[in-house]
Amino acid sequence: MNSVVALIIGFAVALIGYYWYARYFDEKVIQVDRKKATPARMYMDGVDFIPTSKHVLFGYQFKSIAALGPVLGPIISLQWGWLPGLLWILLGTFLIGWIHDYSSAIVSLRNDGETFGALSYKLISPRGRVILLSFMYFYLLLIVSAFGSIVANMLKGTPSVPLAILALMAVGLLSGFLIYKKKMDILLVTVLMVVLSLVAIWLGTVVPIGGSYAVWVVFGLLFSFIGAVLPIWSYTQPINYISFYLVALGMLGAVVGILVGRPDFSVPVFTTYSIGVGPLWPILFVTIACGAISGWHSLVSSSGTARQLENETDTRYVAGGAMYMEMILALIALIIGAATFATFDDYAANLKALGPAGIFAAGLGALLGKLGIASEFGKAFAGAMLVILAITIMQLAVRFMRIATAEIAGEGSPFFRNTYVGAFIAVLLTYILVMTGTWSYIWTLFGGANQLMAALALMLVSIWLAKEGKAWYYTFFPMLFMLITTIAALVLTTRNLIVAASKLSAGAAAPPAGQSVGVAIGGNVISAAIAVFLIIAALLLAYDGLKMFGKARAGKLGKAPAPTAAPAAKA
Amino acid sequence: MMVTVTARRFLQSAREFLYGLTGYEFAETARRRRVACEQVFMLAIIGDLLGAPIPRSYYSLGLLPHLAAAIPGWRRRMLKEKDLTEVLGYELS
Repeated sequence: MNSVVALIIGFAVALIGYYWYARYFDEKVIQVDRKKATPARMYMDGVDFIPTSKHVLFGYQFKSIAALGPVLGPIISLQWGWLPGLLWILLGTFLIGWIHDYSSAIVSLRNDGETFGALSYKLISPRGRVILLSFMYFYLLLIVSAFGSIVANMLKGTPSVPLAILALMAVGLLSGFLIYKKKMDILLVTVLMVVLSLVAIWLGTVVPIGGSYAVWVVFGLLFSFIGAVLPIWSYTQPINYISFYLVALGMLGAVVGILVGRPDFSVPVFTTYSIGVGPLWPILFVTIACGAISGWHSLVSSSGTARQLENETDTRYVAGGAMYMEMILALIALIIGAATFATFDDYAANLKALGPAGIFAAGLGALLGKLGIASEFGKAFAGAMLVILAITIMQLAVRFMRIATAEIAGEGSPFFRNTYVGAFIAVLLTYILVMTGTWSYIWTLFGGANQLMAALALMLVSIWLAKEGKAWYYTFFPMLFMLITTIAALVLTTRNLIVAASKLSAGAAAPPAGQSVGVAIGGNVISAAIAVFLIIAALLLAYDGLKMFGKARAGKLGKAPAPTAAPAAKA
Repeated sequence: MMVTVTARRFLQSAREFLYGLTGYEFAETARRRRVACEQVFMLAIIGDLLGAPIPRSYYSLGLLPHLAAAIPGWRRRMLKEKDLTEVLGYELS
């Protein structure tokens, strides 16, 4: 398969999905109405509820959902060959992914802009909200752990990257200071800081910085800790802002590199059904998460976007369109992974030695090389881009975990309301998990939690559709598939973790490099305990949810009152 | 003519998309900081809002007409039941 052909197929699927299936569902099933008042127009308060241009929201939605998930998952999936990953990315988005993002926004839109906490209380059960929030805490812990591990591996394996990341911290702080305090022109600050970041990446190739895995784990967590305790405008936001330009430059370079180089896939169509991390079903469907469907998107759609949509008719463009754009991002990552190395054995060896992040960096570096960029700089740039993608999400997740700690435990003791305590607990838990766990299992658990979140979002949507007397099967069957597949993946992973722990304790297996037997056993047990918790939480929510779904279908929940007439739209 | 209009629309959309990708979060932060200050201010003059003026804040009566438009939004924010997912939209984007 040629990479350009794969890209064309991806664009074709996106166009058909967006203009045919998404339009049909939007107009015939949901029956969006431009005249219906959206929460942004009904409750316009200038803060949460604010009518916003659909183009601005489209950009904002895409920025919020695109992270490391769609980049690394497809590269890992190449172990099965390129076809399974490609099919799941395209069909997963076409049949499940976009409808999940879109309908999460619609449910919130038609329920006064309520978020998933309130919706699960209302549509599932009072305990549904408590379970959902506890579930989300562990979900975020797994995100920080999976990404933290990637950051540490990347910084350890590519000594040209750390200087760029250190410089980015300084650049971010300086940007915040110049934009907010000195009121400098944002365009000027942007140009200056992006150039400074590029110079820092180049300097990194001249002055490499080495360090052990543990050192870089602590570095990544310290970065996140600072982001979680400082005001968001002074640190996290400017860093994310400058990072965006680096990521955008990298992705643009990748697309142009593919079009110029037109590389062929060196990975075979299909290798074997069962690989090191497990069998194709169910593991592939949690390995590639965000590129096909992701629970993270439902949180973004329902908590932020739905409250800013000016018209119901904008939802398909904003939520559905952004998901299709993310599908293209995942496809680019798959192409980079499949076309970088001369043979499949090279790919497998590099995956083992460098991990998926290293493969991406090497691949993007090679593509940038086709545009005349020095390979050392290209590799350092790609590595910095990946670390940035991971670290921006880590900061936000630790920030949220800090708030969650204050909410959950703050009632019992004011100690937990302290900003530093909440953030420290979050990074400490992450440190324990990253230092004791095995990366491949943490990634699977992260994917599992992410996909379970998606299944729970689809369940909420299905209950709402049934309650409203609409065609519920469009989301119900995808929900069943995701729920069964993900729980199967988590059960399998739990079993593997327990088997690995018992082998370690019996002396039948050696611990991973850098870990003692006791630490490795402890890590496996902790990971297994988290997996069991996720399974139990999902089963409880599924039980309550399916019960309410039955009632909704039987018409026992009543229909929601029709929204009031819309006030004039904001000019 | 038609081509010019379409091109202009496309450019406008592209500009807005880029703004959403980049600068929109700064505007959101500014909005939130402004409203946080407004809420503290509202709290300072709550006596007058409730019809029980605090003698020392008699001057707030003069400010009330300027704040009248902000009262419905403020009341809604104050009375709304909040949980963790409320902060997600802002914190996680």
